[in-house]
Amino acid sequence: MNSLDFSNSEGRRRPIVRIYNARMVYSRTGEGLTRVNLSVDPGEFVFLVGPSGAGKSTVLKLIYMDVFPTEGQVIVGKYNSIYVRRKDIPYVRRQLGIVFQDFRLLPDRDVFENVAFALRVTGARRKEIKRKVLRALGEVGLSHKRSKMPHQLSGGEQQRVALARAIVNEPLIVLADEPTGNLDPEAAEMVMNLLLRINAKGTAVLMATHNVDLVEKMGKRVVRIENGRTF
Amino acid sequence: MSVWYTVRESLEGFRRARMAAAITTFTVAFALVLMALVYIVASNLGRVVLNLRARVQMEAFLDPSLTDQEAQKIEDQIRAIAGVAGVEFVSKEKALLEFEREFGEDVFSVLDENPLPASFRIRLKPEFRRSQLAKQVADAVGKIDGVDEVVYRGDILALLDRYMGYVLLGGAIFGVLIGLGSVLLISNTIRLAILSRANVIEIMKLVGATNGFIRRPFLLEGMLQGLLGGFVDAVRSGAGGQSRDPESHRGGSAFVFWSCGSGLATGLARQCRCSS
Repeated sequence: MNSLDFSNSEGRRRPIVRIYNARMVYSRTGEGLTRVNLSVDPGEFVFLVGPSGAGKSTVLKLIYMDVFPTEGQVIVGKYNSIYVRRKDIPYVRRQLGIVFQDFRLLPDRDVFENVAFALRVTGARRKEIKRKVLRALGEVGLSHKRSKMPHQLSGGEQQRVALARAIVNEPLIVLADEPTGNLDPEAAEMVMNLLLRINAKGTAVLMATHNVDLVEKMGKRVVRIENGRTF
Repeated sequence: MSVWYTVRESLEGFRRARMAAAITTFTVAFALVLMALVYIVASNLGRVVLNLRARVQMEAFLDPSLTDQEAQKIEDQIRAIAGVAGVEFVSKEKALLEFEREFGEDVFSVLDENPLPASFRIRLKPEFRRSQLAKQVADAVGKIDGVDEVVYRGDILALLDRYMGYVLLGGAIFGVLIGLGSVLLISNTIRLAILSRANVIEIMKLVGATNGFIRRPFLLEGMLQGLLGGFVDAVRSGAGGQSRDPESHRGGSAFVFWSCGSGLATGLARQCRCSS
């Protein structure tokens, strides 16, 4: 559980994630972000939409501090990209649940261990790990497949395991990078519903997607990004 | 993080990547075999040379007219010379006995009296078993009153001095090349093993694993692979009958050192990759 207090001195809840005037250039390609501003409040569901190559994934990378802005700043919980130390980055990520288009499960471990890994890194006790993992797998409807290896699962099931891994640590926010991009419509809908349910229980969700139809149907806050600039 | 987790993960690592673990283990073993070969050749060569040098004895023949008392004084003088490790007096009678034993002839059947002079057999200190230094000792002994002649196999020492330099240099170059080859072989195998797991490491980082958390099982796994490689090599050398050789005990500890070292190197290399 996060023990951070998101209320400021006036009692208003502070955003979980804030990006101020971030500019970022990839040294190799020269592409990147021109100017990004984004803020996500606790419990909020935000879509980050834009065409391929607009910089959606880079914005998420800024949040989980895989890349750093050349100008501006990114604040995640109590960590600021300007002051954060390299050794703090794992602790930044423990406040986040990250889901990718390509699932990124550990191929050499079964479903239970994949989900448990996110807790093991925090030094959680064995009993606690078992309880939380089974609960997370229950939430995504995969308790019965806990002993399967990732390659024995369908794409939709793999993504649900990734979702279970993302929420098992009770994160402040779930970052989802095109989570339905590799899935058939039925599996995509299931994953989408799960994200909504996770959000309904109080976890913020920031979902990057280029699927405009889906976004319009949901009626959630939308941040548009184009040519590396948010609108 | 519990120690149990680290141990279990490192053992699991073997199961998860059986082929990579086997290749690393046998590469370490193979590299150790190469190193062991160099070690065995070098140590045997060293022993042969030391034996040859030790065999070179100096003999100072005395004036036949000297009495035993005078000979005793000469012995003291010889002992005082730097480089002399020991002196043995060979009386005329003893020299005669040795002659008869060696040639099987009775001298008195040909001559009326014993023609053999008394002598001192001089053993040199190990550091003086070199052509130049042995000559210094021989000259010093030769200057003592009552010493007629000093005889020793200076030619063998000169030969060893002249060619051993080349042999040692060649051996050192060969050893360095083999060592370098072993290191390259091991490091390349490790690099491949790391590349095969780069994806897994990336995912671990994304879920908030610290570098230490990722490293420790890899480190232990690397050490275990190194030790296993050393063990395979030890079994090989045992099967080859080298264990009967007392030198192999020293070799054995060198293997253990090497295997631990390579294990550590394996782990550390992985550690470097993790923190990049």
